[in-house]
Amino acid sequence: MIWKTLKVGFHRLGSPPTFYRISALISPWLWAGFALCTAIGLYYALYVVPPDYQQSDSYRILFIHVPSAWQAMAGYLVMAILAAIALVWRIRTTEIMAMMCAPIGAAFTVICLLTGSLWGRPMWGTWWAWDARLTSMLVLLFIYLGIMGLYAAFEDRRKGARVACILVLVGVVNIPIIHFSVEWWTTLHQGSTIRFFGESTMHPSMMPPLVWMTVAVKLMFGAVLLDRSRNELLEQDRRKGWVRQAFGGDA
Amino acid sequence: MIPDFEYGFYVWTSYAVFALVIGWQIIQPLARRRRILAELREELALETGEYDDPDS
Amino acid sequence: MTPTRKKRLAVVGLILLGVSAATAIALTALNDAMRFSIGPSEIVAGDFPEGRQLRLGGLVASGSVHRDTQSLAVNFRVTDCIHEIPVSFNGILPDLFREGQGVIAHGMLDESGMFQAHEVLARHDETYMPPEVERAMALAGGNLVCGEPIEDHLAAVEVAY
Repeated sequence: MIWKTLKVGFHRLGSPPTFYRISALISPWLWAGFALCTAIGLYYALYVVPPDYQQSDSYRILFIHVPSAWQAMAGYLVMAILAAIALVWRIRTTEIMAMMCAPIGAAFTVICLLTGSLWGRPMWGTWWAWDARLTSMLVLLFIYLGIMGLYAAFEDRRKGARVACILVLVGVVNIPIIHFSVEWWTTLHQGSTIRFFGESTMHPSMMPPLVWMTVAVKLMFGAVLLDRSRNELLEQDRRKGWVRQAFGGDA
Repeated sequence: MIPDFEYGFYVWTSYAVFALVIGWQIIQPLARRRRILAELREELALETGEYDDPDS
Repeated sequence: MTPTRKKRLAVVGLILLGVSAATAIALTALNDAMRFSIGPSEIVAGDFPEGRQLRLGGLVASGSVHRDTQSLAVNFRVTDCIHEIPVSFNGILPDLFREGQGVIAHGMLDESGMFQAHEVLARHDETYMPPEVERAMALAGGNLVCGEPIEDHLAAVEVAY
């Protein structure tokens, strides 16, 4: 009974008009949450937390660098799950959502790489090094760009999405490589500070901005994903009845 | 008001990069939505014969 | 699930499996090449001939830093707590460079066994804490030293705090 309700709900969400309506309801709340969390996070990061014993104020870059890096990777996993669903069930809204993850993930990868570089220059003494962590992160950016390019290269959007979804699956192998690179090989980049298992090596007084910014960035990913997917759906379906019906009035 | 950080240049440039990229992620969907809706309105107006040529 | 979807799911699984297996094999084969730097012990073991460009990674041995008063020239030893390699460098050191700090020197060994570096990068650990905590820790004798596991280090932080 519950299973059936879930299944029907799942398929309803897949229908473009329903997705269009529901995403319009959710997106503003995600944006509001993002604004709130960012405000708190930035306040903590810039005004409250003490400087680091070794790196002084330069470590404040961490509060945008690390959440962005996590989101670049988490965004890829979201995209891979959506891509797998899209390939098996061929639900068009899922295909679109998977494709719309790529530009957002790429944006976070760019933030991660640039802020990392700006942090590396004063601390390590170099803007860039070809160590395993930095290189695998750069590869992630190229994979994101490749997915976007492949999707755009097809006249038929659905065909493009399907081909790009396969690339998404192939690229997912890079995510564990990024994560474990600092453990498997010697790198210039230091090891993980925050660990899921075992103790984190950051003083508790420095944790709040990291938590707030991480949540903020996740909410923002969701908001932009919904907004971008709505746009893509609208553009693809511009000649279809539901769009004509929804916008015929205000023409 | 604005804290004076050691390595301030690197810290502030990083936060500026973050603001710029996030700002672009906010603006891009809004701009695209406006463009799509404008085109949609034009198409609908053409079909219903209510098209008002902006160039004439 | 319909048979068509089952088939597609199997294909998705096969793609993931195939790519993971291929990558695992490739990375295992490339394992040595993936390392950014090598330690003093490996150089002492003689795996690397002089005149070859290397990245030497380790800690700056305490008491080993000698700066030239007239120029930017500096000498120090890099240690992995087992072996030490003398390093000579002429240039600007990163701000984090100090005794006990992790560094990576890029250069080559000369005939005398001295590592001639043309670039020195600082590594920093993954520990972040306020200066007061670090001072309290130093007073408690908990400063991170060679060979001390990070867990003991953290326990000392907690005691000091």
